[in-house]
Amino acid sequence: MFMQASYSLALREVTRFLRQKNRVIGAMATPVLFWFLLGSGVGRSLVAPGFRERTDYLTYFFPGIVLLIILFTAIFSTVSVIEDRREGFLQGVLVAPDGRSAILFGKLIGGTLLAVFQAIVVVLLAPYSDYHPDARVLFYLLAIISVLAVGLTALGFLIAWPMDSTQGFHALINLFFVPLWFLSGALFPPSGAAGWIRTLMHFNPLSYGHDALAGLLATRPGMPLPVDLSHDFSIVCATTLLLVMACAVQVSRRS
Amino acid sequence: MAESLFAVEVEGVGYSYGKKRVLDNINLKLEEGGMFCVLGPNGSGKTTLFKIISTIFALQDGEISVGGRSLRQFPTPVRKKLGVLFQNPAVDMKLTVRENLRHHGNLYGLDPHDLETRINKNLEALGVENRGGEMVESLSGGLRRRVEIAKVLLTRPSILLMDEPTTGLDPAIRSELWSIISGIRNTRKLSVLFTTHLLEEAEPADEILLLDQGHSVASGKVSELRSSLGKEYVRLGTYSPKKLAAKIRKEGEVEVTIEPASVKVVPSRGLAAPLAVRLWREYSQEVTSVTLCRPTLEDLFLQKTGRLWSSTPGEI
Repeated sequence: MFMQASYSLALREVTRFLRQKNRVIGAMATPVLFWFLLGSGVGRSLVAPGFRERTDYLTYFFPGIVLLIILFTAIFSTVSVIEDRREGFLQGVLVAPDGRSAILFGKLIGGTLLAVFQAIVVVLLAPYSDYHPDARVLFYLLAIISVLAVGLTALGFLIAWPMDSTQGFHALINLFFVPLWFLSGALFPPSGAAGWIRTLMHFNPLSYGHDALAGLLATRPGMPLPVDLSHDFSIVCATTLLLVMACAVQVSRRS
Repeated sequence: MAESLFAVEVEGVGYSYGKKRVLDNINLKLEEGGMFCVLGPNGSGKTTLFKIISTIFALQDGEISVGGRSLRQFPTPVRKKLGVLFQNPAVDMKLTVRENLRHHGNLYGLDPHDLETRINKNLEALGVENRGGEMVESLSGGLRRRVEIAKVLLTRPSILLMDEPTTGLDPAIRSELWSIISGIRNTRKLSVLFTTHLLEEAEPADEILLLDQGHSVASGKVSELRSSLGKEYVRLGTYSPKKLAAKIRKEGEVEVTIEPASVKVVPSRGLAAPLAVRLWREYSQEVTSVTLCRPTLEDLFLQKTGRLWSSTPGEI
């Protein structure tokens, strides 16, 4: 019953997403446009520390944009928790036999599917950034994107669950998530940053997600996988697990 | 465990939001196949009680059993017995009618093939079989309610809980909704527990619990409660109730209560009908209408709380 209920809630998330065409366009086009304009604008103006040559920012910024798409999609899919509560739909789920756990896993699965789908579509643009992932790399990319999507959806759920205002949710996202993304290495590498920024980046789990994405994308066909991939993967998995457990505790609490 | 004769038993239930006590020592018993109304003005604690019984809120004080099973110990089996109709429709506006029903069936783990059969039957029973493919957001308030009832009954609950089910509906649709519920009760042997702040909606219930500010002020069968209030009385409509009340009081042998646009006169001796005729003759210049009344639930509220039902705070 629990799996059937979770599947139904996940399917609902996807159906609602596909029926809101402006949401589909906004979720896909905004980060890509952001990447294209900022990447082309900065161009080859920057020299990364340790390198003599100027870095093409379109290339550097690409993994960060994949991360941004996962972050945006996963987190914004959880806004529906607040909408569901306000519109009354959530209460109908909460009185179902396995309603509380089903709503959590339904949202996690739904948010993850949407985020993974969009991130993979963008990954297909990788050759435009001089990345050429082969099937093996794509498989690992799919794995890390999926784990990141679960973790970020869980984080969005954790914040959205006690809230009753979408405006409040958006304000919190801007305050918390945008800096989290800034400090992941998406916009600049840690090597040239100020000491305190480097420390923050070191403790930001999203940095390891970005590192895994960047490392995998840079792996050319026939090259070995990045050496720190398993380290990055472990940190992302552990953080995701903690977030899902925190969600489970939160959702099981009744007023 | 012996089979309980009661579909729902609530004993000594209390609830606090932080330090604020909103329900205190509430008791009720809904007989199997019966219809029980929790009546109270806005802010009386009806919805809190409803949310506790429907398992949305945790049970803080007291005990509740549903079909003889403790809600505290067995919330999941209890949920399977309940069909819950909320004040605001718990349907997804962005899904079609049929998708909403299918989703609800999946939430309760119904077999997919059986689910489709039940959906068809329920849509037909509620007269919305031609609306299955339409988005819920495109339906009127009355049709949305029908869809929700069709949805709630999919799981064949033995107890139907309803929180102010007619809120936001116009009078014609309200009456239609009650006749649908009455029809369902007859065919499915449902026990019904509902809350309302509308006095006239409580009348058809077998028993009522009257709540005020989180306390039970009266409970029992409507007819018994009404007869406990005593005699018939006369209500005189007037533009100046205070003035008229003062004049009638001087006559003696009557009990006079001032209401916002009327005066209630209860005879101390004799019948109300001759009194009505006499008052109409004597005060025809000041009286706009004369009504011969039987004691109502509104009178019961006045007697128990000292306040008029109409003076209770409304929803903002």
